Amino acid sequence: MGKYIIKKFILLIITLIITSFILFLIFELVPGDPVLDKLGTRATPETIAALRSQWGLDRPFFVRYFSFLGGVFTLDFGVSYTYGMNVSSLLKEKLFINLALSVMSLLIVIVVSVPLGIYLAKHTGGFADKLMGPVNQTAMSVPSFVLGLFITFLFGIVFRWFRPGGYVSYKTDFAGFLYFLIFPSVAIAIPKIAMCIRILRGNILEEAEKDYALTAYARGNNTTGLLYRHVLKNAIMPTITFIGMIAADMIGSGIVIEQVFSIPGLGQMLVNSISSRDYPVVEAEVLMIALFIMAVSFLTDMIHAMIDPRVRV
Amino acid sequence: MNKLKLTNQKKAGIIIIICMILFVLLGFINRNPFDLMNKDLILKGPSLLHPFGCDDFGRDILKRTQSGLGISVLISFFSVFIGTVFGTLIGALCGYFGGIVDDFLSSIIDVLFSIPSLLLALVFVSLFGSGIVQETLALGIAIIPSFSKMMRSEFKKQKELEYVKMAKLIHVPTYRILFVHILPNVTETFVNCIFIAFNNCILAEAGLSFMGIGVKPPLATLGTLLSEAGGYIRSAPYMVLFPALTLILLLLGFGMLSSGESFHNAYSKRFKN
Repeated sequence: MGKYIIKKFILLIITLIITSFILFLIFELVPGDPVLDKLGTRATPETIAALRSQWGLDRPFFVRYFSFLGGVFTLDFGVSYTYGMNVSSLLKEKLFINLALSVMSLLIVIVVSVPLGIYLAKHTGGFADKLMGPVNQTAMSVPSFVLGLFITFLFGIVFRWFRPGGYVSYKTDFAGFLYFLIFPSVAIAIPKIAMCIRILRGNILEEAEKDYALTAYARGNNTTGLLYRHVLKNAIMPTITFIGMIAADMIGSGIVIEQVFSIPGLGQMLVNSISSRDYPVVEAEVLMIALFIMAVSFLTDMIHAMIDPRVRV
Repeated sequence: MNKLKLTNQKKAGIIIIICMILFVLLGFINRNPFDLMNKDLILKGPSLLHPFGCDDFGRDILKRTQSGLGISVLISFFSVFIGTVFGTLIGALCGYFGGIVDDFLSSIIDVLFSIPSLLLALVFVSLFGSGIVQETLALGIAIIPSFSKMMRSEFKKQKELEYVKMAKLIHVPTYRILFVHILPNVTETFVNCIFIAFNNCILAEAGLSFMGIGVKPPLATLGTLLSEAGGYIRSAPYMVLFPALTLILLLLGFGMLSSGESFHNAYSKRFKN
């Protein structure tokens, strides 16, 4: 197990280095000079040189790359071009908000889809199963920001369960913050729940047809025992991989959903910094998101190894 | 070759998509211009003359939905085209030749594969700037990793098969082996990939324009309409309803065609060991 963890961890570091290098290179190759953009008509050779050295753009490419890469570990990504502030202090709060949002919707997905998927697999062909087919297909097709709009209308305006646009900061009222996040989380979670249920149900049915299941059945297990003692252990593996993947997707849906619920998270910041071409902020944000995705896939691998000893070899 | 069986679900998907195309084409005989502002009609609800109602500038929402849907589909079409051509090419070369170039490229593709396509498109929009051409390009590039990953594994599997070895033996040129011999044998994955990519593209495009970094006004896509409507959800909920339903129907159509799969689960399903 220890060896496996180390192997995966080294792989994680290598991926991180490759990603950060590609990212840095891309922004390096963009036409246009942020220094000239910022100075505009005030650009003289002296001011250009001054700003360049202030932003550290006069250093060679690899020096700047390594300081960027080092930023991942020291949480120092330099200074934002537009705000003039330290990038990491700008990002810290937003990251927390998005992380909370993702974790919450992930929890909702797991809590709802796993029992429902198992139930539907157990009662294949029943009424609920027949009903879920089209419902699932439709739920999968609704983009989460559209769901967010519907939820705002239904629960915010008709039922008045929350105030639309009334985001509560986690610093002033943590419970209120969590309560407000429930609604966007549900909007993110619903399409993913539909996908998850379909995958879990499909995997259980597929595993149940294999020889070992038949043998276990012949030995006198009933359906429930067969399902929980034998089939589920094998069927849950692809589902865990899939949940890891949707966790990565959640950050993506999260940045759109923020706009619907006016949550001041990464998405708004990303859009602002993209339109003002504030590259240090964009780079740092994208790298943080990539890091989050890698961490999730690392965790997925670990859970795999814990459940299934075959993976560790 | 002809292995594509049409299930009822796929037939329903095709019917939905044909209806959506007709809906866009009907826009040409709808004589309300999509950008005409009329202050007498501001936030007027649905009526016979304006079945979807009018927006905050008194523009006809039906016409805006039709033209918006058209633009969304056009952008997605060209993006999918770019993604398909380059994705297949990269996937085919990596899968077929293998070696160090493959190792290098596929490690990059693996990383990009796990990043949501909306996010990738966002990065590229930040590089190219916003606008209809830039957005198409950004979305197109964003699909390449997923596409090439799928195609790479297919080509890798096919190259071990007897017919490819035979073709090599009688000196069939490599490009012919790749695109005349192997490609028709992976049609199923290929077509499925195209539909998934289309679905992703429409979703990402709607997301981008919803965040206000898609096409520039006065042009509007479905995402723009929805984000404009979001501000009036209290007083004019119909502004959200009709574009949202259109978008959902379109995605439902493509979802049915690709049997509701995403790249991730299509990949894991096909290449389980």
